[in-house]
Amino acid sequence: MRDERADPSTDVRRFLAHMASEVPAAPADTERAVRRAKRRLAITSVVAALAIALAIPAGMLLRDAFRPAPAPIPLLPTVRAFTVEDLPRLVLDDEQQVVGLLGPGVGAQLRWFEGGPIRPAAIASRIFVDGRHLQRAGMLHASMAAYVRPSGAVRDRGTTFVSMAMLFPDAEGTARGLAIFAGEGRDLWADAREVAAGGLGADGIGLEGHIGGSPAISFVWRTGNVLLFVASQGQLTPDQMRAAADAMQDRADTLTSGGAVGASGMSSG
Amino acid sequence: MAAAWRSEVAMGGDGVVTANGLAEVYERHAPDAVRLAYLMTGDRSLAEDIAQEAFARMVSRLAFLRSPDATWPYLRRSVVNLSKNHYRHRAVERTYLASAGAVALTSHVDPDVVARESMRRALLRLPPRQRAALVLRFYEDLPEDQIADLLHCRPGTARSLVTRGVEALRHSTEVMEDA
Repeated sequence: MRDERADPSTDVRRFLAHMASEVPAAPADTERAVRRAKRRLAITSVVAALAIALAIPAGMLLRDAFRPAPAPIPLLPTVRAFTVEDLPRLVLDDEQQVVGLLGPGVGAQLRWFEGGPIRPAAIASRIFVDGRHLQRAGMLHASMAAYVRPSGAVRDRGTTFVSMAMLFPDAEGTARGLAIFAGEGRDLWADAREVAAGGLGADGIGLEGHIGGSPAISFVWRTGNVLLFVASQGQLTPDQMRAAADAMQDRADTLTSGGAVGASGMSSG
Repeated sequence: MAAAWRSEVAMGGDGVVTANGLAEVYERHAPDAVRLAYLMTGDRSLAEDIAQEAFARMVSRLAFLRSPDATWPYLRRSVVNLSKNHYRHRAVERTYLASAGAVALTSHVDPDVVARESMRRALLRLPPRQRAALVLRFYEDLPEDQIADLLHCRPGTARSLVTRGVEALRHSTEVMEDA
């Protein structure tokens, strides 16, 4: 060995080869090594699955943490839209006990329309506007109740009371309907002056004057996607009519807040 | 090809790792892995443990191995790293070297045996990186760039480690023989 020491790397190679030969050629305990490998593989798989399971929500949290805060959404009124089923509950029927106007059972006998599609002719002749114009403006359905004194006819100085609810797809439709009342709704009036309609829905119109020689009062206003209307011809006072209008508005408010509408406390004053 | 190889070597038809496939891979590479670890640690049982650990690591990475040719390089890298890490703590290394140095030379009269024992002691006294560089260069016959890659250093550093390791071995054996 000394003779070959001129190249130290040769010595190192020989030594390493000799030392390596001390290790048996056949591996010892293959079964143990395989068990260990399979155990490690299982652990690695579980750890990887856990890492993925944790990384996903962690990533989402990080994403949310670094995402710029969204612009605040302005609060919108939570008033629900009215439906056709609400219409009969909005109109004032005989259960409202409009004192001095209705006799027992009279309202039921004289109710010409309740629920279902509106009859344009009836509207045109009774509530001062052409129903077809309202339909063109988007009116979908209407419900109406009308009452007279027992002796009944306008020409006999009787009293007529009309309560009506008109359904539109949206608030814009009610604005178009209100514009129709503001225009052609005045044609039948011999004279008309505006009375305060504040507090009734979003906006509305109140008129007081004479139609056909008889005193008349009407309120029409819009709330949500319905247009509400009360009118009288005869002896009802402005206060009574405003109370009737307020009763309708109360019904509308109750319905949109999720309450049940029953007999309200409308008084005739 | 790589997928077929993995399927053939270690996976059953249902994609589950099979014991037979793993045993075949282990028996093919374990002797080389144990020898390499033995040269780097001087401890046969430790070398077998390192070889098994390297094999376990390789199996857990089986899905990422490109081909059968990648098996031994991966095992070799694992053996080198595990061997180095075993002596990472200086206290452990010092304790081991002290115990190795305390072993009395057998009273062999064969000069080759004396020379080999001297060189074995000298090799085990080398710092782990120098020892690894020597083994990789003169046992594995790896070029300097591959040694540098395995030892995470530059090729010049690998060359220096080999040179200094050889000088240290020669110096140690000369001192031993002079003594």
